[in-house]
Amino acid sequence: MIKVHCFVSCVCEIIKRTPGVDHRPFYFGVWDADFSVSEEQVLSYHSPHTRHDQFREWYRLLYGVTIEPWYDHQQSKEANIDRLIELVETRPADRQVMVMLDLYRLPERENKFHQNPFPHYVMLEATDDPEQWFMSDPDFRWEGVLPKSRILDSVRSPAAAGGFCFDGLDIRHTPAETVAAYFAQCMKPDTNPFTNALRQILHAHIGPDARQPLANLPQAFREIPVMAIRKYAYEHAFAWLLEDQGRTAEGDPWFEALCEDIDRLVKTYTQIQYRALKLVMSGNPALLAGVEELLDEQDQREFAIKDSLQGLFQEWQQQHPDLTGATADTRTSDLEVLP
Amino acid sequence: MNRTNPTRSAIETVIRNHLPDARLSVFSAKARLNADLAIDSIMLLQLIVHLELEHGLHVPEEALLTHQLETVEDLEALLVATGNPEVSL
Repeated sequence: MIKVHCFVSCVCEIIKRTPGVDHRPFYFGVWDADFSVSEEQVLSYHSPHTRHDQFREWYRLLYGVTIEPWYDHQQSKEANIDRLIELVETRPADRQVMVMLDLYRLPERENKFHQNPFPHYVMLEATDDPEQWFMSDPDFRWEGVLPKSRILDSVRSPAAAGGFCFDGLDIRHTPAETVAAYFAQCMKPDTNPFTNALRQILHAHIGPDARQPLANLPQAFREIPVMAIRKYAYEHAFAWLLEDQGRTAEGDPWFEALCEDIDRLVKTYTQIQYRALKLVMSGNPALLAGVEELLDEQDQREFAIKDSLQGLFQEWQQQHPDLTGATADTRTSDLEVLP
Repeated sequence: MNRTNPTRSAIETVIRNHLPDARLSVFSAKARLNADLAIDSIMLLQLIVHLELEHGLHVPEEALLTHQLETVEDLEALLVATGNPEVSL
């Protein structure tokens, strides 16, 4: 599994390195993590208003670690860069310093998405050489040393504005009741927000309610791949819920079949993008039905995955009889989970 | 223009005509679509649709999902394996 969600990958890195604590429950918030759709009906994985508040709150509840924002949106970019330099260069050993930069401005880093701009969270550390910083990018499984000036140039991009820090001390074992409450909060059994958004965007560009030029649809759908891979978070949830009951995930035929369904879910978004492109580039409106058909298939596929996951969650709950009070009614959940 | 390999020529022509952000200067059979030519996932889909609409080269949708297209050669091999007729340039 590669890039799923850069903020989540950064904050989970320290959890992964801590014995006895598991980062995978945190991914419950990823498969339906928020995204934005602009007034022009363009899909975007990142919004300038994104503050990750809900993820930060659940991180505190699950692991006992507070993620503090250090980036001050009321201050100038240069003032924030000065703050970043101070944080990195005076960093205690257990502190993680996260910053949002524009990966497009670091061509020396391979960026498979080649999107311009590409806002992305990484973690930074000073090195013995004052001109070089160490960058950790767990989302892309990359780490290495880069010139400090190059990193700061990418932070100066107007597309990047944000940063957090947190201390990796006193990470606690995740209480089962908190995991149960988080699952209840994240699970949306009756709706698939991403597929719904794609349907809404499609119909904003073609059909009786269209108000955007059809030619804009490829741009509106451009960031589908960045969000489609978030669905791989289901794999983490299935694996963790099995293993926490002492069962084996990898190699288990039921689990492997679900992984295939999840993979199909992710890849079918590529197929949707392909059919939408063909619809626009051929100018043949008859191809619309083929896109709608795939969106309907995606709904069925994802609802089935959610049903299986809820079933497994109930089995997990039965292993924890003390959790009877933590079975939140997911259907009345009103807390939005932000990316 | 590669006269001995019409499929590769068609790929090169589409990139030249429709993908201005791609790094055509390093185009070759072994060139990696993403890392060398800067062709991202949506540009690759555009390339494939153009190949179909303008050159009659068809890629089955299922192959899009199951094949890992790393290099120009990979795409070429897929187009040939799919049994496309003689391309029109």
